Amino acid sequence: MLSRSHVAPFVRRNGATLSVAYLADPDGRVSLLLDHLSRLVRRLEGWRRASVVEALRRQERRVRDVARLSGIAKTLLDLCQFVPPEDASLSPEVRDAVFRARGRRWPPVPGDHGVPYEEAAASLGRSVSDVRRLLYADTPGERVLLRAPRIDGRALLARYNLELARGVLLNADRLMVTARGGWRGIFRALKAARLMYVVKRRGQSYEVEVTGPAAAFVVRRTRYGARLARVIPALMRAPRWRFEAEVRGPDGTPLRFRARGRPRAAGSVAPVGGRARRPRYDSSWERSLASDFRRQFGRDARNGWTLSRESTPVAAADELFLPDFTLRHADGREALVEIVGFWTPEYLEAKARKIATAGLGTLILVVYRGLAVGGGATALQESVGSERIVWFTARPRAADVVKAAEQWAALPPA
Amino acid sequence: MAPVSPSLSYRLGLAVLRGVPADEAPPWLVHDHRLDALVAPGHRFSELRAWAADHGVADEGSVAADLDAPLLDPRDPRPYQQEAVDRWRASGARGTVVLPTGSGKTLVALLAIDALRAGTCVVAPTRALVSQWFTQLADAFGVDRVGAYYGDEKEVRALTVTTYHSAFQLMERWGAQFPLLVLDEVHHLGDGAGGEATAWHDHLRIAPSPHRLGLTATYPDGRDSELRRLVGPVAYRRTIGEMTDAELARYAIIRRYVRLTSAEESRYQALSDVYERHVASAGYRDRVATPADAWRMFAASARRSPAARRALRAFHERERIVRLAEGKLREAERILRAHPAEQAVLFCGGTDAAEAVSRELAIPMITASTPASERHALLGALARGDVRAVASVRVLDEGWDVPGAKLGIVLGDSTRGSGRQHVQRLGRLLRRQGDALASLYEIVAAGTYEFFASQKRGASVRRVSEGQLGFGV
Repeated sequence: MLSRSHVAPFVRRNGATLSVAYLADPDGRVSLLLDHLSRLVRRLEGWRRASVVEALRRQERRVRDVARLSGIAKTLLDLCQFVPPEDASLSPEVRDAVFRARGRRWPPVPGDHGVPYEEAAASLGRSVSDVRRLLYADTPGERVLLRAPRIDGRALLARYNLELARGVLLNADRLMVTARGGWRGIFRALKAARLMYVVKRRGQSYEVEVTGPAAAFVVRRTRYGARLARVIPALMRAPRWRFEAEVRGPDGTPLRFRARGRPRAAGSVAPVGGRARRPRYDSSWERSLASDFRRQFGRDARNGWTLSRESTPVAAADELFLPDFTLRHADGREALVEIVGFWTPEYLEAKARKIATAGLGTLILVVYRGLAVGGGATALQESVGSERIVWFTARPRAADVVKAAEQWAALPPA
Repeated sequence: MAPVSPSLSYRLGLAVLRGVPADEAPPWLVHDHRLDALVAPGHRFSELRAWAADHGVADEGSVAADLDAPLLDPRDPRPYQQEAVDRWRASGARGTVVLPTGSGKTLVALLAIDALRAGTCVVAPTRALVSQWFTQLADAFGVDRVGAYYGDEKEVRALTVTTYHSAFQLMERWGAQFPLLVLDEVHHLGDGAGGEATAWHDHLRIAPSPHRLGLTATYPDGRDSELRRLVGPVAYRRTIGEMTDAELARYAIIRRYVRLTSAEESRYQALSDVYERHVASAGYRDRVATPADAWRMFAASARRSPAARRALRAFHERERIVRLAEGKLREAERILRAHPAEQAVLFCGGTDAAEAVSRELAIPMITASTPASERHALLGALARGDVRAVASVRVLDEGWDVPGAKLGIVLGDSTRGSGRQHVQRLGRLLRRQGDALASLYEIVAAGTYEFFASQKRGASVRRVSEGQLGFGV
C-alpha cells in the first residue's frame, strides 16, 4: 500500500470535498513510460532489492514530479516477489564465526582487520571473499527479485490510481459503501478488518456504513483508516460499487471523498477500480448446485425461478448473515438458500442460534447428510424446523431446493 | 424476536451493556446504533462492571486467566523497589513509578505482577525492549506463560509483551484478558503541546484493564493530565540525585574530535557548496517564519525542481560522509584498546554506519530488523564474553539492558542532536555492577555540522544530571 507521503501531494481540497489528482494519460505517453518501468523491473529479475529500488529512482530524469515516480515505484515493488539469496541461510553461522574470532583477539589492533575473516573462512571451509559476502546476505536490502509482475503500462496506471484512492482512506474514519453483488467478499473483508457496519437496502443495491468500533472514543479517529482501505480490493470484485468516505482534514474537519468502480475505465480519466470479476464459489457443492439448476431450470422460463449467487445480507444484532444463494420467482417472491457442508456440532449450534435470532422465514437449509450426527443436527432442526431442511448425500439437487422454495418463498420486505 | 436479556461485555474497545433501557443505565453510556446497545470506552469497563454487579446484570466480559505462577526472580528487591510497589498498591494498583535509569524498574514491575497474580500486558516503545521484557518475564514466571504480540509474532499468553504501536490492536481483541497493564517508558504518554490527549493514549482509552502501572525515569511533569486520568497519579518517585553514589555506577563523559580525511573533507566541502548555494539562492528562509517551515518548503520543491533535488541529495550525502568518517572508526579502535577489559556499545548514526563498523571491527550489530532471537543470542554472547562489543542504531537507545557494558562510544546521532536520546544512551551504561566507572565517549567530526549538534547534546546532559559530571566535559 502507498503511504501518506505518496498520496498527500495529490489530494486536493475543494470546500468540504476531497478529490485526488489521478494520474491522467491524455496522449498515451504516461502509459508508455509506465510500460517502460514495468519492463525495466522485469529485466532486473535476479537483482538485489536495493539495486531495483535504485534503478527505479534513477528514472526521475524522465518525470516532472518525483512524488509520482516514487508512488508508481512503490506500487510496482509491492507487486514484486523478493526472496533471500540462495545461501543467505548461512549468514547467521558466518556472523557467529567471524564475531567469535574477533572476541578471541580483542581489542582490534592496526593491521589485524582481516584476521577474524580468515579464521572464520578456515573454520567454515570457505573463501574469505565468500565469508565477507555472506556476512549480511540475509538483510532486507539483499533480498533478490524473484519475479516481477507481468503488467502493462495501462494496467499499472489503473493500479496506481486505485492505490491513490485507497491511500486517501488512511485518513478516513467512516465509509459508506453502495454495491450490487460481491457481498460475500466484502463482508468477509469487513469482518477480518474488525470493523463495524450497518446495512440498509436501497432498491436492488445495499448500502453499508462502515466505521471503526471505538472511533468515537479515541483521539486518532483515523486509526481505522488502514483497515477501511483493506476493504477496497474486495469491493473491486463487485460488478458495481461506489463509496463515499468521511476523511479528517489536518484541522480535524470532516471532508468527503468519493470513488466508484468503472468497469471499462480508459487511461484518460480517473480509472479507479478494475474489471468486475466473476464471483467465485466457496465450495464445490455451491458450484454443483448452481450448475444443476442451470441444467434443470436454466432454459425453462415457464417455471419462473432464477438462482442468484448474490444473496441478501441479513443483519441479526451485530452479526451479519449471508446465505449462499437467492432463489427469485418472476412474481417477486424470494427464498434464501444456505448450504451446510462440513461442520462441527459447535459450528452448527452457533449457526442455528444465528438463524433463530435473525428470524429468517424464507430460509432453506441444504444440509449434507453424511455428517448429520450429534446434537448439532437436532439443534438445527429445532431452530429452523425440519421441514425447511433439504438433505443431500452426494451433491445437492436443484429440484429439491426449488420444491422447498415453492413452499417457503415470500415477497421481500420493502 | 425475544427481548434481549441484560448483559455486560467488552467488545473491540467498547464496554457494551445490552438489554438495559437508557434511563436505568449509568448516564455516561451512549447508544451505539451499530450494536443497538449502550456503550462506553473500554477504560470504563471496570466501573460498568461494578454497576452491573449491583444491578444483577450478567457479566460476559471477564474471561481473564489468573496467573498461576509465583515470581522466581532470585534478586532481593532493594528497599526503594519494595516501597515503590507498596505505594502503587496503596493507590489502588494504579499510577506511575518514577525511578532513574539503571535503578531496576523492571523488578518493580515483576513485584507488581506477582502481587496481583493476574493476566498482564506489558507495553514497551521498541521491539528491542519487547524482547528484553520477554526474557525478563520468562525468567521470572516461566517461559510458557509469556507471549509477544507485534509485527508477525502474535502470541497471547497470560503475560503478553507488546509495543505501543501494536497495543491498540491487542487491547481491542484481547483486552479483557489483562487486568494489569504495565507501561514502560511511560513519558511517551505525556499530553500534546496544547495539553490535549494524543494518539498515544488511544490504547489506554479502549483497554478494560482496571490496574495500570507506568514506569519512567523522565516523568512529563506538567504534561500529565491524561496520564493521571488513564494510568493514575505518580505513586512513587526518586531522583538520580538521591541515588547515585550508593546505588548507581558513576560515569564520565569524554568528547574526542577527529578530522575528516582530505578526500572526505573535499567531498564534504563540495556537497556543502551545492547545498548552501541552492538554499541561499532559493531564499527559503526569507519566505517563511521558522526554519522548520523553510525545510518543508525545500523538501517540497525537490519534488519538481532538479536543482532542489540535487541540493537535497547533497545534504544527505554530506550526512553520510560524517556518519561513516574513517577517522571515527580509527578513534573508536583507539578507545577500545584503551579499555581492553570492558564490554562496549558503539552507537551509530544509521544502519549503514552500524554495518560499516560491524564489518570493519568484526563485531555484531543490532538494528531494528535484527530478529528477536538473534538479538537475544548476541546479548547472551556479550554477557559471556564471547563477543566484546556491539554496534547499534537507536534500538539500544532506550531502556535496553547490557548490564556488563561500562563503555559507550557515540559515533553518530540518528536524531540530529536530540537530548533525550543521548541521556538514554548514557543510561545504558549505568547499570550498577561493582564499583566500575562507566565511560561515554563521543566522537565528533570537527569542522562539520556535527560539532554544533554535539554542543546541543552536551547541554542537555548537564541539565539532567545536575552537576555530577566531574570528568571530561
